[in-house]
Amino acid sequence: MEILDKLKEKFEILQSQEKRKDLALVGTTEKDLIPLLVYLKEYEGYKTLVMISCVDWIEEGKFELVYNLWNPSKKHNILVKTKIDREAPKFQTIYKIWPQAEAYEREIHEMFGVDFEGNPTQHEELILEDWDDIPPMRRDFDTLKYSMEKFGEREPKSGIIIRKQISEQYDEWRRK
Amino acid sequence: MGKDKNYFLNEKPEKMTYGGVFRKINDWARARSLWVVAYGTGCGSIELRPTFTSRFDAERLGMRMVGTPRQADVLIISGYLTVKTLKRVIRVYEQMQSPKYVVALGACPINGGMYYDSYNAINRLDLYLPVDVWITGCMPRPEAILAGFKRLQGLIDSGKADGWKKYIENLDWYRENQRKIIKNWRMPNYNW
Amino acid sequence: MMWAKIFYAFLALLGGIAYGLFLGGVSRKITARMQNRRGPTIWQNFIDLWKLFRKKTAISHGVMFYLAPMFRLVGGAGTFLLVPIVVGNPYLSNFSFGGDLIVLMYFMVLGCLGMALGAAESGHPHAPIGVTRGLSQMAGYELPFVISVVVLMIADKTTSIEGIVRAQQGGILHWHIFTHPFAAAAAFISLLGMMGSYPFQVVLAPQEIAIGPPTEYSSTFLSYMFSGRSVFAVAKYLLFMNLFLGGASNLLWAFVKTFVIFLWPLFITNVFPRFRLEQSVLFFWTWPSLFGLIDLVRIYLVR
Ligand code: SF4
Repeated sequence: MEILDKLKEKFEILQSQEKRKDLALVGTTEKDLIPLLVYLKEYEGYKTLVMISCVDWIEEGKFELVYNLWNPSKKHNILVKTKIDREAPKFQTIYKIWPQAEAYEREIHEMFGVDFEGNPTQHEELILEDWDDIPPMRRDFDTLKYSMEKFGEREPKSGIIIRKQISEQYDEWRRK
Repeated sequence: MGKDKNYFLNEKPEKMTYGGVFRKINDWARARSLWVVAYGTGCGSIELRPTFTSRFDAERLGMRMVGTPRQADVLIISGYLTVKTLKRVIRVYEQMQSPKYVVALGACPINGGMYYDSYNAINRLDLYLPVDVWITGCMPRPEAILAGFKRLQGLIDSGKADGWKKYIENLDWYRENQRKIIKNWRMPNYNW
Repeated sequence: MMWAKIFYAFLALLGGIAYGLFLGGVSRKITARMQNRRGPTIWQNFIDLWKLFRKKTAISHGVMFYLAPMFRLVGGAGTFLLVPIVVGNPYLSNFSFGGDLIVLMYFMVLGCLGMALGAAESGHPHAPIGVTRGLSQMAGYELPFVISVVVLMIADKTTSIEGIVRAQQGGILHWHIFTHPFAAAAAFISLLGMMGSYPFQVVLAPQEIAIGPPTEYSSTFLSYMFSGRSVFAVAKYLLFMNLFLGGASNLLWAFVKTFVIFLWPLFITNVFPRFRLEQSVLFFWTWPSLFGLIDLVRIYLVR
C-alpha cells in the first residue's frame, strides 16, 4: 500500500496494517500523531474526520485514541492510533484542525476522563448529567454494582406484583 | 429561576378532589378522547408512528397526538429512561393537567429490561412516576399497544385509573426517590 | 320583540357551535377516509370539548391569559351573531343591520388580536412565534378579501349583508359567484388562509412550533377556544354563502350551501403541503389580489 510506505518514510510508525481494500491502520507515537494527521489532511486528501474513539487497555495501563479519517476522492479510510498514559490521561486537542472533533473529545472526556488540552467545551456535560463516579466506560467501573446501588433492585424478591408493592411502600413511608 | 417565577406554582399543589354530578359522563368522555403528548424515549417511539397513522389508526379510539404537555392526557414512556431523560419526563408529567395517565411500554420501564445493569438507565419507573398501564414486550407491537389503550379506557371508564391522585397524595415519597438519583435538582420545585 | 330576538339569536349561537363541532367531526372523518383509515366518530369533537371543559387547571399566567380565550369566543360568537342565517326571516337573521359588513370585518380580527395578547403573556417561546406568523398571515389574506368585498359593495351600492343578498335574488345566475367570478375567486382563496387550511397552515404548524399560539393553554381555556373556533368557522361559511352563493331561503338551504363551502378548504387541506410564511403572504398579495383588482376595474368600466 503506497500510502503506508509514504508514512513510514516520514514518521515514526509503530504498527501498520492493511485491513481491507478500503481500510488501513497505522499506529504512531504520541508526539508524531498531530503532524501525521495534518499531513494526511493537507497532502493526501484525507479531508474528513469520521470519528474519534478510545479504547481502555487496562492491563498495559494505557488508553488508545483512534482517529478515523476518510478520503472522499479515493474512497479510502485510515485509522490512526496512538497510546497515552492511563494514570493521568492527557492529550492535545485537534479541534483546530477539524472543528467537529470538539464534540467527540467532549464525549471521550466524559466517558473515559481523558483531558484534551485546549478544548474549550470539554468540561460541559454531554450525556451524563450530574455524574458522581469514575467515568463509566473505564473497565474498572462496575456498572452492575453501580446500577444496583443507585437505581435499586431489578425485581422484587418475592413474586408479588410490583404495583402492589409500591402501595405497601407508600404505607410504610407514611407510618414513619 | 427568578424571573420565571410566575410561570410555576410556588406551593405544593393541593389534593385534587374528583367526582361530582357529572362523574359518569366525565369518565366516559375522558376514556374516549385521549390526547397523547408526542414525546418518545428509548426504542419504543418508533412503534407509535404506525400505531397513530393509517395502518393501525389509533384515531378511531378517539386518540390524537398533541405537541404540548399542557393539552395532553396521556404520557407514553416508550422505553428505557436515562437519568437525563427522567428529568424531562418529570417536568412533562407535572406540566400536564389532571386527570392524566401514564402508559409504560416495554420491559425497560418495568424492571430495567436488557439495560438492567446500565450505569445510566433507571430500573423501575414506578418509583418515580405513577404508572396506570404497563404493556410488556421488547418492543410491544402496535396491536399490543392498542390493546393496552383499550385497557386504559376500561380503567378510566370504571374510575380506576387514579395514578394522578396517588402522585399528588404521595408527592413527598416520589420526590424523595426522584431526588435520590437526580443529584442536582435544577428545576422548579413544583412544575405545575 | 327585542327579548325574543335575543333569545332566538342565543339559540342560533348554540346551534352554530354545535354545527361547527359537527363539521369538525365530519372533516376528521373525511380526512381519515382519504388516508384510507377508519377515523374517529363524527361526534368526536363533542366528546373532546366535554373532556376539555371538565379537565382541571392549575396554572395561571396573569389576567390577559384568562381573557384571551374569552376574546376568541367573543370574536367568533360576535361574528356569527352579525351574519344573518336566513335573510328576511325575523327568527334567523340574528342581529344583522344596515352597514353591518364593515363592522363585521372589524369583528373578524378581534379574536386573533385577543389571542395574540394572551399568547404573548403565556410566556412560552412558541406562542409569540405563532402570533407573529398569524398576524402577518392576516395582513396577507385580508387584502384580497377586502378588495372582493369592496367590489360587491360598489356593485350593489350597499354595505349591508341583507342588501347584498337581496341583489342576488332571481335565479342562480344572479349569484355573485357568477356575476363577479374574479372577486369570488379572490375571496375563496383568502378563505383558505382564514381557515388555516394546509398550503397556508403557518400559524399552528404542528410540525414546527408545537401548536403555536395556544401552546400553554389547557383544559377549560382550550375548550372556550375550541368552541370559539368552531362557531367562527360557521360564521365565515355563512358569510361567504350570503356574499357569493345568494344567501338561503330556509334552514335546509343554509345547511347545504355552508356544507359545500366547508368542503372547499377541506379538500385543499388534504392534498397540499405547507408554504413558508413569506411564500404564503406573497401568494396572497399577488394572484388573489390581482383577481380582485380585475373585477374592481371591470366594475368601473362597465358602469
Ligand atoms: S424494552 Fe426493549 S425495545 Fe423497549 S426500550 Fe427496552 S430494550 Fe428497547
